[in-house]
Parts: sequence; structure tokens; C-alpha cells
Amino acid sequence: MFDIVSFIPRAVVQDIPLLFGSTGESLTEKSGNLNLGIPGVMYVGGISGVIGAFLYEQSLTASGAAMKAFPAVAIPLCASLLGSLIMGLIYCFLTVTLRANQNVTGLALTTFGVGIGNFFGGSLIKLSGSDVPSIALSATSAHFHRALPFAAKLGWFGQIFLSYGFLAYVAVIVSLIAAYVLRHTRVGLHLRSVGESPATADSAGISVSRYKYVATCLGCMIAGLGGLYYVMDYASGVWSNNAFGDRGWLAIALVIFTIWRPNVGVGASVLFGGLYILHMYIPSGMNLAVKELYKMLPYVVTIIVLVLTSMRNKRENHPPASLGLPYFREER
Amino acid sequence: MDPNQKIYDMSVSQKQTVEIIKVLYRGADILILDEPTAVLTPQEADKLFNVLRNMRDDGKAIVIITHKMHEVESLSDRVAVLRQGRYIGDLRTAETDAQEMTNMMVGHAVELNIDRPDPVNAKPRIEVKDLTVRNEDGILKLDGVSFTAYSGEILGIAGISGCGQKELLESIAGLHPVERGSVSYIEDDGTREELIGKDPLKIADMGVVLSFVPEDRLGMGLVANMNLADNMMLRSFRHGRFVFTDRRTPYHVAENVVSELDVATPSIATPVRRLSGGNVQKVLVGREITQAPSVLLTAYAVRGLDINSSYTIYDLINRQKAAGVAVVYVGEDLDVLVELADRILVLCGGKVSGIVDGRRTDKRELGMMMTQIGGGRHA
Amino acid sequence: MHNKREPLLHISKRGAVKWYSAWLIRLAALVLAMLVCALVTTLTTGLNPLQIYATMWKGSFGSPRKIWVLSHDVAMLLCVSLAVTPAFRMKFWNIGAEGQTLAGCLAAASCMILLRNALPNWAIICCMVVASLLAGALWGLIPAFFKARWNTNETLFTLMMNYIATQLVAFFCVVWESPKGSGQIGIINQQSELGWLPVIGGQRYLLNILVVAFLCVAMYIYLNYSKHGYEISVVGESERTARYVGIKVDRIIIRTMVLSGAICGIAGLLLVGSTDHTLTTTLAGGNGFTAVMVSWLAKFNPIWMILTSFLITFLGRGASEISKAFSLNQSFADILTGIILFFIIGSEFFISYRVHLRGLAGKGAKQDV
Repeated sequence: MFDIVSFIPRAVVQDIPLLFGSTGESLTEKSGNLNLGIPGVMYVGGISGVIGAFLYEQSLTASGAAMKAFPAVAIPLCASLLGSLIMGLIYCFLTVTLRANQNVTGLALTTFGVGIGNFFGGSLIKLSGSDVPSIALSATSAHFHRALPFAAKLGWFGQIFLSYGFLAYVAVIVSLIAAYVLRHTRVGLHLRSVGESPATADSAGISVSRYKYVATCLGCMIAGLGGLYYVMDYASGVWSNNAFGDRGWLAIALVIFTIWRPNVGVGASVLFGGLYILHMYIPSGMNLAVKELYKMLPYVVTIIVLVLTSMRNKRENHPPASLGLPYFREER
Repeated sequence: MDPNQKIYDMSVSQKQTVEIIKVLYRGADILILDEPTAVLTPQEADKLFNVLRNMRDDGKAIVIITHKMHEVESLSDRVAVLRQGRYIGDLRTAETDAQEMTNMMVGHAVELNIDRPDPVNAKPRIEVKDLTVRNEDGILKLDGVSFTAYSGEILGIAGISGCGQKELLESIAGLHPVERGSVSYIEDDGTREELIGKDPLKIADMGVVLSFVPEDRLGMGLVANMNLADNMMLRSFRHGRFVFTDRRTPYHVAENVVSELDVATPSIATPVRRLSGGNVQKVLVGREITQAPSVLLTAYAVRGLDINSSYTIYDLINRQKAAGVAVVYVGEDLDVLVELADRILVLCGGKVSGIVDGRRTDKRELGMMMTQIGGGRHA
Repeated sequence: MHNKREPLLHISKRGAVKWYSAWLIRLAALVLAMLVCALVTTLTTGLNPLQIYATMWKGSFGSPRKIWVLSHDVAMLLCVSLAVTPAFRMKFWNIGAEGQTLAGCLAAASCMILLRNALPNWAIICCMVVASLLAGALWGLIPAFFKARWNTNETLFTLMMNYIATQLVAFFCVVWESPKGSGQIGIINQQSELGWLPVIGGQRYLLNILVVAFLCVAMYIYLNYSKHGYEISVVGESERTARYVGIKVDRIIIRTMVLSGAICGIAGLLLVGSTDHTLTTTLAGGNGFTAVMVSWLAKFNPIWMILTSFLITFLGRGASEISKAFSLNQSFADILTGIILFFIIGSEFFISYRVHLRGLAGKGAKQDV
């Protein structure tokens, strides 16, 4: 039986990392940077949060104090933002200041980020020399997980809309703010002009490098929160290597699906999240083989969307014109 | 101006108006213009100059960069001359003249005349009938254009930027899809070949040697990152044995072009993007001429070139004309057109506004024809 | 004169660079990267860097068997890198090599399983060759077609095709599982060795190495001396120029991607028929992504790619050895690889651009003519 009321919340939980990732990457791409390192950034965002929470829990065990809600949330959050920021700075330094090829830099960043995530995930215990059997941050994660108190009392409405950890709502709010800033503010206008035609923006006095740096680093920080949400909320504080999988790439695909509009992403990511888990809900009996085919769905849908948007070919729906290209003033 | 109109939907002079509005909106006190009249008709240029004079009287400082002597004389109060990145001198416009300024620009005395021998034994070579072309956005760019280009003659094409010149040349060269109409190549003995519907390769296979020097030199006519020899090979790479390319012949061609046209380059193996504008154009034109074409199409052949290179190009074109090539010369500098072309065809909004004798017309008449079909009834 | 408005650091593009200066700069970057890696390793694990490098060396050259394994891994990585190179020269970002290889694997395995009772061994092998070539070519053709026709973004399309290929392989792994319920295919035709590619000279990896060596030379000749190779270069450098001289860009895109996919298919054939004799979703081992780096680092030159694929494989195996020896996580290799890549990517800047300090006269900057 297909239970929509229980399906939707699960789909939403899947989609929040995608939403964070695609909003972050949309901002980055609007500035003309194609950051294929987002999957790596999301891993780093997740593991940084884990490290922060782990060290906090260790310090509590050492001092014997009780866990307080605010630091339990703030420390991993700050750690995650810091980790993602560093990744963003690496990318920007290579592609904006050193004008390196963006595709290769992004892929190197993904290799690096996934490596960092898996390495620390596996070795944190050994490295910090502590005595726990595995990294299970259930205490910290409970704070992330805590839903609004009255949600359970509101029946299906509560279950579909109100039963999530606070980061989920943060994702939606950030996406809406990002979309608003892009469309309706001067800063957003400047950013879009940097992405479309850096030469024009430059001659109008807009600092191309600064906008690219800020947009990319901000984008990475937002995307990193997706990794944090995944570990802390969805996975209840348990880090398993490679569990995050290829969601980072789906986030990049989502950017194109939403035509670089984060507000569309709010809805579209639910669709993607649903497709990702659909294979668990299809009653195909015992046929495990066919289940593998259902796992293809998100990717097939992405391809269909890619083809359809390229066929329609309206100029406003094109990617930012200078996407993927470095800017060198003397070559204007 | 419609504030909601998208930039890509505007004409070039509308775009320029937007740029000026943008500058005024931001309250600029200093205005720097880089070759602003390159894309305007004489009448539009006059309007622009009036706006600039008003702004000057308002107390704004205006710097206008131009290579057109008559603009300097009519508009400026003072003129500074630069040559090869060095500041040469600064004069009061009222106290100098075009010849002196040109000499300062080049460094030595320069002949400012272009030769124009009469066409000899002109035969019809390209006949264009009712050519109708749309661009990729579906906008009508050429509407029922008909004319004939003769061998041994230079046919100039004038028109405001974007009125269809690019589409005209590209359609003849086989690079642009055509909605309606025909372009016939006429051999000496009268046989006709239809060029529409064929790409450059098929045209060459038919035995028609058609050379096209496009407006975008490094982006279309040449491969910027390849060296001279590889660029020479662009037209001839299919001539190698079996599946392999023959690199020696293009190398010799490159050496010839460099020595005959005096191209300044460190070596044949230098990427062409490292050459200066004039030398790039010499390489491009040199390659096209090496084919010994019977038709030579050129778009803005001297745009952005220094005086010396420009006159080299005019000379090359005249030599082709003397050799019996049908030359079609699209240009924006009306002064040059009036001195170089035998006949001038004026396009206006994709239609033929008129075809006049180059020796008997002047800039004013051309300017009128560029904005109105037939040029209106004013003197 | 000291101009206040002149920036502190002024960057200008370099003119021509002697080829050896470029390689010196890259070498310097590599050395610097190794130093940083040593630092990072020591900081996180407290181990002596020299010890670490010795272990890395042992990981690749420690024994004759290890040398063979190293050569084999280099060959397989090189094969996939050769496959993606013509596409990259055309500025078609084919990151779907993983999927194209898996398609080849699937085709080869299918022949081995479905035809095992129907045809003699040599016929099965012929079918495998043809099937894997076609399968890889098809996997490359699909994104190329859409790019040529509607300018669909090839980076994402090829990426998605990877996952579709993986799931197809997963599907067949269940369908053909042996024993039942294990979800794995296991060694195919273990007793009869039907469809197993011949072993040359008693060394089971020699066939792969020879095939890839041949492909390497062939690709070099193809890209630099053939008309196809010239067309690919022109299309990659300037699509407008290609059209201007009558090159049919659409046809070139499709033709090149078919070639690219087909070579990946060969890689798949070698993996299934010669190396592993089985089919799993991870058979391609991530080579599809690493190949991008290998090809780019070698500036899309097949001969240099021998070096870069050796370098990356050496690093990978070395890092695995370190992880085993000091019970560290396997992912350590990725971190080191990432750092080294960052340095080499960054070094490109110093090759293409020159930095001027304010106040210093530009030292003999070559005048552009």
C-alpha cells in the first residue's frame, strides 16, 4: 500500500540535502563558477560537523558536565560552516586568482573532499585516541532532530509539514532568501551580471573577483549544511563511509532542473528526494533485480529534464553566459 | 526607449543610447567613448555629437577615442596622439590638420590616397536573386535582395550595423541557411552553378574558388591557438594522402605569405593569437588569396587596423581586382568606401536601398540611403 | 615613477614559454606538493615522512607481483584516459567513461554467460569484442547525439549515464546471480574458461598491457597526424572556425564520442575477459573520473599520459600500502591525490602568467609583435 502521508516526509528528508546543495551551487554558478566540487564540499560539511560534535561530546565526558542544547547545535554548525568555507576558499583561490580550469579543479576538490570525509569518518576514533567503539553522536543529533513540540498532535498536516528538524526549515528559508536576493536586490543584480558578462560588470566598477569569491564561498557553506543535515538529522549522528553517496551530483543536476532558481528548488527537490527512495515503495514483490532498475529513476528523470530544457532553448533559461570560464581583465 | 525591452532585441544604435543613458543615470562627470561612431550612420553620428557638445557645455569632461580624422576635427577641442603605446604629443585641434595628425600617428609621412583603377573586362560573376534570410531567432535579416557582382570590380556594401551584411556574405559563402532566393555563380563561358543549399566544402568541390574573410578574424577565420602553418592548413587539410594530413605544403604556403605580405612574426610555429591585429589580418587575407579565388568576400577587412596595415589591405584588394577577381567589400567607414569601391550597394533593414556609382556618390547620400530605402527626397 | 594607482601585484599573460620551463615549474609544484603531503601525514598520524615514502615505494615496487599489478593498473587507467582524450580535445567534457566502461563490461559478460553453451570459445571471444565495442560506443553516442542536436550539457548527461549503467549492471548481477540469493555473479565460466581471453607468456596481465600500449601509440598518431585528429583540434579550439571551413561539427562530435565510448568498451572487455572474469558494479574502479585528471595533466598528449597515469596509480597504490601498514583509512590516498592535484593545477598559473611587483621594471618581457 502506498502511504502518501508517510512517503512525503521521507521524501522531504531526502530532499533537504539536495536543496541545500542546489541552492549553494545555484549561487556559485550565477557568479560564473561551475563548482563540480560540491559533492566533496558536502562530505566535508558533514564530517566537520561530526568532528565538532565529537570533540564536544568528548569534552563533556571528560568534564562530566551535562549537554546543553545551544552548544550542541552551535558547535557542529560552526564547524561545518568553517570546513565548507575552507573548501570554497581552495576552489576560489585556484579558479579565480590562479585562473585554473574549473572542471578539473572541481573534480579534484570532490576527490579531496570525499577522501577527507571518509578518512576522518573512519579514523577519528583512532586519531583522537579516545575509547569509544564507534562514532555515534546520538545525543547531539537528538537536538538537531527535535521537531516542533506540537507537531505530533496535528495529524497528517503535522506529519507532512511540521515534523522536521530545524535545519530543514533553515533550508527552505535560505532558498527563498537566495531567490529573492538574486531577483530583487542590487547585490543580486551585480552577481548576475558578473556571471553573464564579467567584462561588462568590470567596466561598470563591480569587483568581479570579490563577487565570485563571496558567491562561491557562501554557496559552499550552504551546500555543506546539506552534509551536516544528512549526518546529524537523517543518519542520527552515525557516520558511515560513503553513505552520503552521490547525492552531491544530484544536487548539481537539480540546479539545472530549477533553471538556477532556488525557489523552484524547494518543490523540485521534493520530487528528486521522492524519486531517490521510490524503489523502496514499489510493490514489485520479491523481484530484487527490478528494484535495481527503479533506483535509476532520479537519474533518468534528470536526463529527461536536461534534454527538455535544452530543446526549449529560451535565452533567459540558458546558463550564465560565462559559466566555466575564467576572467582575465586584459583579455576583454 | 522601452525599459522592458531586452538588450539582445535592440539595434546597435539603440544599445549605444542605453549605454549613454546608463552613464548619465550614474551621474558621471567624465565620459570616455571608444570608437563610438563605428556603427552609426553619418546622421546618427551628428546626433551623438550634438549630445556630446551639450554635455561638454554642461561642464562634463569628454574623452573620445577615434581614428577618424574628420571626427577629431569637427568635435574635439584638443587632441592627444598615441603611437604603439607611447604618447607622442598633444595639440589644439584648431591649430593642426589631418595630414599632420596622421603623420604623428604613423611616425612618417603617409600617402592618404587609395588607388582606384577602372574595371577591365567586367563579366557577371555572382548573381543574387531575391535572397531572403532569417537569423537563428527567426528575425528577417535579408528581404528580397538582388544584385550582380562583376569580375575585376569592387562592389562595396554599406549599411548600419546589423542590417544584414553579415548574413549576406555568409549566405553566399554557404554558411547560413537561406529561406528563399538564389545565388548563381556564372563561369566565363556563361554556365551557371547554384550556390544556395551547399556548404563551403561542396562549393569548393564544384570547382568554385570562393574566399571569405570574415569579420571575426581570430574567432572564425583562424584558429587562435594554432600556429601559422596549421592555420594555412584549414583550407587544404583534406588533401593529404589516405587518412594522414600533409603538413609540409601548408608550411611553405605560410612562409610565402609571411615574406610576400611582410608579416611580423617570430616564426611559423607561433600561435596566431600572439600576432598584432594587422598581422593577423595579413595572415588571414594571405591564406584566402593563396587559393587564387575568383570571388573574394571581405567583411570589415580593416576594422581596428593601424594605418599602414589598412593601406596594405587596400592594396591587396586592388591587386585582386586587377587580376579579375569579383570583390565584395563590406565596410563601415564611408570615407574609405567612397574612395575604394567601383559600385556601392546600400542595405537598409535587409532590403537593397540602392546601388550607386562609387565615383559619383558621397557620404551624405550613402547615409540617407542607410536609414531610408532610396534615401528620401532631400538633397 | 611610483604610481599610486598601480596595484601591488600586476598579472600579465606570458608570451611563448619554453617547453622545459613549463615542465620545470610543474616538477617544482610536484615537489612542493609532496612536501605538503609529508607534512599533512606527519601531523595527522605522527609518522616519519621518509618512512612513509619508503612504504609507498614498497607498495608499488616491493615485489615482482606488485610490479605486475602496478603495470596492470597503470594500463587500465591509461586505457580509459586514452578513451576520453579525443573528447576532451574537442572540449566535450566526457565524464561518463565509468558508465561507458561498465557498458563494455556488461556486454562482454553477457556474451560469456549467454553464449556459453552455444558457440566455441573463439566465436565467443569474437562476439565479446564486437559486443563490448558496440556497447561502449552506444553509451558514448547517446549524450553526443543530444549535444550535437540540441546542445544539451554533456557534463551532466554523461554523469547521469554513469549511474544508469551502474544500475543496469546491478540488475543483471541479480538476474545472473550465482549462487542464488547472493546478489553476485562470481567468477564466470570458472571450469570451462569459456570467453576467457588468452594469457600471454604465462603472465596474466601481459595481454592488457600490450593492448593498451598499442592503443596509446595508435591514439597518438590518430590525434596528431590524421585528418580526423586535425578536425578534432579545430572543433575543440574554435567551433566557429570549424564550421567556416565546412567541417561538419555535429558529425565530428558524434564520431569522436563513438570512438571514445568504444575504447572504454575495450577497457571493459579487458576487465571482464582478462583480469577479473566477473561482473560487478564497481569493476571499473572509479577510473572514469581519475582519467579526467590523467588526461588533463598530460595536456591531452597520449605519450605524456603514460607518465601521469603512472604517477596517479603509484600514488594510489602507495597510499593503500600506507593505510595497510599503519592501519589508517584507505581514503588517505584520496586526500594526498587531492593535494597533489591542487598544486599541479595551481602551477599552471605560473606557466601561463607572469606576476609583476609594483615598482620593479618588467624584466625583459618579450614584446608581442
